[in-house]
Parts: sequence; C-alpha cells; structure tokens
Amino acid sequence: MAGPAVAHSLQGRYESPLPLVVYLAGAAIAVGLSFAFVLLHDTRAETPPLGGPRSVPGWLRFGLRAVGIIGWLWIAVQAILGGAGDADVASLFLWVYGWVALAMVSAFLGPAWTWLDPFATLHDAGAWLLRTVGISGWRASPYPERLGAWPAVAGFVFFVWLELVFTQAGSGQTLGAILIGYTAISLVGMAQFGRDAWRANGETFSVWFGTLGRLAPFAIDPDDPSGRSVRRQPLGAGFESPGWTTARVAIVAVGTASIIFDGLSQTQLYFDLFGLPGLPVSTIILLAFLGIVVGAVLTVSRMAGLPALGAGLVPIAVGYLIAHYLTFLLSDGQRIVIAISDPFQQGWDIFGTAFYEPTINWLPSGVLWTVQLAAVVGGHMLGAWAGHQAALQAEPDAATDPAAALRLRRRQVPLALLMVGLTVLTLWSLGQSIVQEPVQPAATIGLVFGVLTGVVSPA
Amino acid sequence: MTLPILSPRRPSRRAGLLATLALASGAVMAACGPGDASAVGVVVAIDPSATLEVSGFTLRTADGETLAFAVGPVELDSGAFPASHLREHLATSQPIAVAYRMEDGTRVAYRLVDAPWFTP
Repeated sequence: MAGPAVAHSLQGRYESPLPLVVYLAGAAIAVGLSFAFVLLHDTRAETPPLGGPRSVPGWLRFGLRAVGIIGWLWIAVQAILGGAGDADVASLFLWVYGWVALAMVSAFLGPAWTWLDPFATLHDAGAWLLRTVGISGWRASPYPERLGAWPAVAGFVFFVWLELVFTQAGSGQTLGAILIGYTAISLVGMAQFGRDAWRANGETFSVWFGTLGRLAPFAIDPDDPSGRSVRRQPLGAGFESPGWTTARVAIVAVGTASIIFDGLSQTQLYFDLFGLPGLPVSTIILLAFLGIVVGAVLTVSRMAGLPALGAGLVPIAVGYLIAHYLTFLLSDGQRIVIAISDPFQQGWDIFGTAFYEPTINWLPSGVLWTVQLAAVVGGHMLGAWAGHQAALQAEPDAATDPAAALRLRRRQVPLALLMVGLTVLTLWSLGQSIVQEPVQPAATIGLVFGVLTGVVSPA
Repeated sequence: MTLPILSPRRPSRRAGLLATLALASGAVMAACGPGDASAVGVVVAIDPSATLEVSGFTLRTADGETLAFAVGPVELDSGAFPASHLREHLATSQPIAVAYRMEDGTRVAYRLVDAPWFTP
C-alpha cells in the first residue's frame, strides 16, 4: 500500500539577487500607492449592468451534481473500509480540490458549488424519496435573523482548525467520519430552516464559496427562483451587491487570517516563539491569531464600513490562496492518479499508478516566487480598488460634496494601513521558505541603489 | 421625572474583545511555559534501513552536529507526519524539526514536522 498522505513541499530555494526586505518594501509601496491613487484621484466606476440570464445546461448541472455525490460516496466508503495512504480521497477532495481548487473556481469562474454541493443533492434526493413513498415533511421554520451567517462562520473556524491543527496526517478515516457528521448537521439544518435558507446562512461551504463568488464573472441569476440560470457580470461587480454583514466580513477575515497563519506557522520565528506545540497549545495559538485578525478587521470596518472591508478582503483572500496553496494544488492534486488505482485503499494497483509519486520539481522556485508575489500584491491592489468602490456606494454624497469626499478618504486610511500590514506579513512568511537571501544583503541594497541613482554602472 | 438616556449596549462586541484578549493571553502564556526539547536539521540516516518501520534516525543540525533519535509513539496533529515519512526526507534532504524527550539518556522523538525555514 502507498505511504500515508503528508504534505509535499517544493524542493530547492530561489536564490534571489535581492534581500527579502526589498521585495517587502516594494510590495508595501505598491499597495500603498494603489490606495493613494484611488483616493486622491477619486477614481470611481459606474455600476455595471448585469448581463442577460443564461440557463445552465441540464447536462452540466446534473454532471456537477453527479461529481459531487460520487466524491461524497467515495469518501464515505473509504471512511468505512479504513486504510491510510496517498490514495486517501477525504483529504484530497476536501483540502486540495475543495478548499483550494473549488475556491479558485468560485472566485474566477462562478457558482460551481451550487450544483457540486453533495449536501444539497442528498437533501433533494431524500426529499424526493420521501415524497415518492407518500411521506410529507414538516413545514420549515423561518431562519432566525439574529443568527445571520454566524453558523457558517463557526463551521468555517472548525474546518480551519481541522486543516491547520487537527491535521492527523494519513488519517483519512477520521476526516471522512467528520464529513459524514457534517453532512448530518447540514441535512438537519436544511430540514429545519429550508434548503435555501440554510445554504445561504448556515452551510459553511455555500457561504464561503458564495462570498468568493462575488469576484467571479458569472453569478446565480437572482431573478430566477429555480436557481438554474446565471448572469454574466464584470469581474468584481458582485462586490457591490448588498448583504455585507458582520458575519460575512468575519468569514473572509477568518479565511485570510488562516492562510497567513499557515505561512507563519512554518517560519523560524514561530518555531523560536512556540517550539513544536501539541494540539491544545496549537489550538489556542490559532484561535488567538484568528481573533486578533478578525478583531482588527471588524475594528477597521467600523470606520471604513463593512462593504469596503468585505470587498477589499475577498481579492486578498483569493490572492493569498493562490500564493500559499498553488504548490499544494499542483503536487497533491496529482494524488487522484494514485486513488483511481487503489480506490478503497486496499493495496490494489488497478491501473499501475498506485505508487506514483507526485512531484512539482518541474516548477522553478523563481517562477513560484514571482507568482506568489504577483498574487499577493495583485490581490491587495484589486482589494484597494474594490474596497474604495464599495465605500463610495456607502457614501453617495462623496460625488458632489467635497466634505463627504474628504470624510470618505479619511475613513479608508485605516483600511490602507491594514492592507499594507497584511501584505508585508504574508509575503514575509512566504519568503521564509522560498527565498534564499543573498550573502551580503547590505552590499546588494547598496548596489541596487547605486544602479537606480546612476552612481554605479550595471555593467 | 426624566429617565436617563442610556447609550446602546454592545455586549457582543465587548464579549468578542474579551474573548480575543483571553485567547491572546492564553497563547502568550502557552508560549512562555516550559517547552520540550527540539532540534532542527536534515535526516542523514534511518535505522533500520531495510524494513518499513522506522525505529530511529540521525539528524545533522545547522552547526554540523549529528544527533541520534529513537522513535517513540509519534503525535500526528498540528502538521506532524508519521515516522515512515522520514524516508522521503532522507531521499530529498528536506529539513525537519523534531520534538523529543530524554529517556534513559536516549532522545525519543515524539513529533516530526517539516522545517521549510531551515537552510542546511
């Protein structure tokens, strides 16, 4: 049987010609200038019109539903049969294809989770079955407004903890059992409050992918009650949609903070501060970090407004997702080749690929660092723009009233500072494992400065 | 009689702030508590090398020192990996961090994690 599933990291480091601090300063300046540009030029965009409705073909909807339910069944069967190894699909489907790939699809394409969602498919199948045998369900209770999307936030924190702390390497059986338990909770929630109400507020993945989907060029058509149509929209137009509640901003903040934590926990500084903490201490550290970041975000939101924070943070979260997890997706994503040869972790080798070893050695570390840099800085620059546009909507008088415009600018300064801080923090943590510092950083900085000022010839 | 006008209460925010402070304090205290011994380096040998089970290994640290470890029951949370994964680290020279305790003069490793920050 193949060995247990564990993280596979990139081999080799990028021998940078510049010290890391130069990249950090450059990124901070880029993000800061982005804010200065949108604020000083009072850049604003017209509210873009939604495209016409387009019906999603039935084969695509049913195909996605089939993929979702097959994935769920595969995890459930492996959880029952046991076994551990690289053929484990619970970690593959949840963390690699779900947490990373599906998040990217949701952000850059559209609401694929709407149909992939196995919990909704199981609910629909169960409801159909009950109706067929003549059993009518009870009437759904109205969803308690005061709960908002907080159940989804709580679920999100739980899954973050599961991913970063309760890792239990190689134990897909545990993860599968947890997913089955989560399925039960989701079905109860849908039965109690109605399928759509629970998905909109309580089901963690629907709320998270739906929030990321505000960036996407396709969105569910709000005027189609059947939910079978999408509308084309300019990238990021979804940020201007209403519904930025404290809970929805909090979930984006938790998502962003969790990715930063993942990076920070693999640094020398973390090791020096905390050593190699076990489950209880790691849990406290994680929750404290999430609490600090969410607290900072919600504090800033009291000045800049919830829509500005929500719209500003989503591109950042997506940028971080790419920067931190691209290698994870490219390497561990290959494990499907192993899983199809040993689908139930029984030591089979059906297609001769059970001992395939995923690798990303073909990806030069310099290219990876460039992609990471671009994703983080690009996410922040887009976040500056999106946050400003959302803030403008909250202050419509700013277009005509100079005092209101000034007020708006002042309110966004804390947001700018928060974003610059996050940029530096996440790039620093990423750089610790990628960038090989030059031997004499001071001399390199001096050389760069000399070339830029013309004192030293590049030759 | 005129009733005083009370400012709106925000218990949830206060509770959130308190919870945050409590957690932060807890983390700091946890960090300041007695830590277990740990070492960082590159795996240079595995014992025994012929079977699947890994009962011990040798680590070369940044200052060139080589440390021998026995493998006890290993914890698998917080990003830790099983001892069998040490073979991959031996083959690729990817650094690891080890938490261990001393038992009868022997270092017994109980937690193994990747150490991507370490430069051999």
